[in-house]
Amino acid sequence: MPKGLDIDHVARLARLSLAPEERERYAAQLGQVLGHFAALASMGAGPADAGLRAPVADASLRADQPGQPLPPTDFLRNAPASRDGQVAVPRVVDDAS
Amino acid sequence: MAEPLHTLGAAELGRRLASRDLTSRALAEALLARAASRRELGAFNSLDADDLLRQADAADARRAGGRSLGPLDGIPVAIKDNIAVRGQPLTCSSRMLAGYVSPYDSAVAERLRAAGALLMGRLNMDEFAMGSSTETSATGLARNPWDPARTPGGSSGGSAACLASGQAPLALGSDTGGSIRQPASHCGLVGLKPTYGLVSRHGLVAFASSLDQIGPMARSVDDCELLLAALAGPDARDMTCLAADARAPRVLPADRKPRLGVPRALLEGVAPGVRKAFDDALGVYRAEGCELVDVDLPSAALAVPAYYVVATAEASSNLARYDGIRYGHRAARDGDIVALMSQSRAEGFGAEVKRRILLGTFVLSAGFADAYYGKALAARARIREEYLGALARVDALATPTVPSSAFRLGEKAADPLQMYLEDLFTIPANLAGLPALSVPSGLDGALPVGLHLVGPPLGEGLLLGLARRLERATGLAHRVAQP
Repeated sequence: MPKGLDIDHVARLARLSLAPEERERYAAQLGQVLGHFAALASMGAGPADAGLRAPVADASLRADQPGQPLPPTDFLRNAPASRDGQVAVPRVVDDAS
Repeated sequence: MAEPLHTLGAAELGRRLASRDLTSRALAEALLARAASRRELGAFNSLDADDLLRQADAADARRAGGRSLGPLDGIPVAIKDNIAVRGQPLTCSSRMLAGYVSPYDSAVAERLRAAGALLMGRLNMDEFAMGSSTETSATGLARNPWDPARTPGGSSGGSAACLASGQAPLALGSDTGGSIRQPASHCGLVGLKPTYGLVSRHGLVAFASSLDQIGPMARSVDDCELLLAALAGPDARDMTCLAADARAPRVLPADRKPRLGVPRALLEGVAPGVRKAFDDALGVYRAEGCELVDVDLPSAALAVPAYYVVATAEASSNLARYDGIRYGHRAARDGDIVALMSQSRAEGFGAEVKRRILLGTFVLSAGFADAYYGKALAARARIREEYLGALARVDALATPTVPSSAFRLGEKAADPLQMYLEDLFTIPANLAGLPALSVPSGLDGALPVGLHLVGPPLGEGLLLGLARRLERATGLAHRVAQP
């Protein structure tokens, strides 16, 4: 496994619960895949603006004008739960807090 | 005996519709019957027959009233299940989106409707387009119509299985690292990944936004070109979509022989049957008067690692939206919000999606981003420079599309690295934003094999012209697997 790969930390960052057997399997597989990525480490520095060099030919923004949004009912149809025209979520704050 | 409707290409069907020898309803009914008879291939996640027939009747009414919308009017186009069609399921073959119905049309759905095409069904795919075999689909396997024990490829495996078995004449795929071209190769089809920005991504469920493109798949070069013409166009809702005045196409020069670049150093490890089909294709081009030029692409070896860093990094960010709150699967759990999200994602995503989210999260994490993500961006820039440099000297670059023909289902499922190497030849075009296509070049036994051509930006017409030459020589257009 590459030095520094802490599968529990990565899973926490990714908001993914892992079962114990998944934990072991993903740690091994990621180690193997990252080993294959070692070729990247051996290359020299790239162009300083490499991050901006994605092939976006025309990054102009559209006019900032108000538009007609889709009706909320269209979106609520896909919500796991809804109540009174709102997305219903489980209680996450205690009354006492 | 008249040819069955399911074996005809879109251009021929358009002619028959225009001459009133055929109605769109009769065509839709024939294809629905064909789809019902080939259900075991797992091409479709869902197919709304009533909706298709309603669209067909509307097309027939337009034609009867002298208001035909063009060559695609009345012709079904099957749609991959990661492209939004209003009122239809949009599942990405994932448990996470089971039951989700799209509230709006993608830009390509709008454009196809404006051209009169019938939007047909929801095609199976690898979950969230992550895979090369359609085995990561949560809705079931798709099978290769030429050998159902083998993969049709992926991630657009449902699109390829649908076309190769005659369930539709045209289909949409999406391509992030080869997801249109690899299944096209494995199923004997023409599949094109357009120049980044030629086709709007509005309404395409995001996997890796700097790499994703929607593109056409068909059983002939002409049909692929017909569908591409309907898909391409500016769209202000996708800031990476090219403006109208930035769309000057590149064509083959009339005053000299076409030049085809061959990166021979990359061909090591190609299976013998695939290599033979490739050499035969080069022979066709040589006989056609094309000049074959050896080219060197020294950084191409970095393409697979660079791609899997960039693509998974972007995927880990794009898929953060699936939190089980506003839409998608929600775990039955109260209390801690982070635990709820983590459990919802654990239950909603399959193994490959989780693997890529974890990988992408790691390569972006503090202390590792420079070593992985930063290096991958630098490699990407270098690969783009090398490809553009080579394409300044030749008109297109030729390789096999995939190093081997379609593998048996299950053969690579336990080894993600082997699966990732399927994309060796197709990935660089995504990293560099270049157009690329796969066209049938021969057979490896009974299994189709494709030739891969990469062109300069906006060189789609140039690539289609080169592909047409090979198609004429091989006679491999319009093949439908029996029964």
